[in-house]
Amino acid sequence: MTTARRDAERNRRKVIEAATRLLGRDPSASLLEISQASGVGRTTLYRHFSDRNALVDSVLEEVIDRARERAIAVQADPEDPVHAIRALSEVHLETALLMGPLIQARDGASPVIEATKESEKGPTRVFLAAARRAGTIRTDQPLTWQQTVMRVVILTAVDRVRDGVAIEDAQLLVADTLVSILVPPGS
Amino acid sequence: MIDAAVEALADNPDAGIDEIADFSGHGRSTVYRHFPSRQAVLEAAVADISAKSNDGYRRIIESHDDIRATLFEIGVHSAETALRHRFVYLSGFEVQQLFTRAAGDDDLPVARFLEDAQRRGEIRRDLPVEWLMLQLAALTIALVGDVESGRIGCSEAPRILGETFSAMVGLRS
Repeated sequence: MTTARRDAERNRRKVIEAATRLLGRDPSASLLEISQASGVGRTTLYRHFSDRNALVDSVLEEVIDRARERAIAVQADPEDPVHAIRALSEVHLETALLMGPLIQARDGASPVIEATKESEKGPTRVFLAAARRAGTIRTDQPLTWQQTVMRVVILTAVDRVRDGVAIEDAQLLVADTLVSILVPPGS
Repeated sequence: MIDAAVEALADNPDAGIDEIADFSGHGRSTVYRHFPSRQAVLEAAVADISAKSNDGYRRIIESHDDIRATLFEIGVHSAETALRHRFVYLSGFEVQQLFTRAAGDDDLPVARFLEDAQRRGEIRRDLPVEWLMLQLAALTIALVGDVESGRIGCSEAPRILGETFSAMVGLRS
């Protein structure tokens, strides 16, 4: 990689890191504040990101990519659905908490998020499919519904955390709820 | 007038005062006398649906001997009500309030039933009733969304919510 490209990549990284920090705290943080926090000039910032939405989408992409890596690292075992559900929902809850303010920072729905809803290759869906095949997660409900349930329960928990419930308590609520819904009775 | 409003909205979630007037057989000014705004219409329609829905829950709860069957029927009823009146869920109305108690509010038959069942040890105690009611609300809304998008068939949806609610709330066998 040439020096110029390395510098460009480094600047892009700095802007994304600063944006993640500032927007996570205050979705209305300005691009000026972000450029100052990143140490990268505003002109340079605009060279990488055409507007606010583009920057927020890039931050969202990073958050989602990191979440995907963490979900894969869980190594969800279809033979141990209780542990897998706990671990995966922990990742999703933390990710959803991060994404909340970022979604507010953007004008309009993000195509990045819409894409994840339809994704069939996400680690959670892969786990659900494998566990259904193994019979450790019930198959008398549609797979898409089980994905919906996971998303819904986690989003409800996000609201609770914002209302003041401790994350650890919310994680327990989520895990216990999901296990009872997804794991076949009598297991 | 409320019945006309419910019908009009079921026919077209964006129905306005004109459509309601059509369905009611009255003129616009008559409708305005009852409902000063579209928001007022939505609120009255939802209150009416909610009251009738609560009657349905009471009937289910009163006829119960088997806890699992009751929980299943509660889920089914929630789904059927939501699907029949999906305009409410698609109109952006704050649907959550139908499932949660405001301070000083009393009559949520399902919440009371769950509290009693917890006291009697008939359902799980580790999840608060407030949380369970929030989940019922959120899952019902999501169910309508999945039916609207074609991911779930309208005819299997009530059964699915019934099983989900029953599994979530009941004791593990």
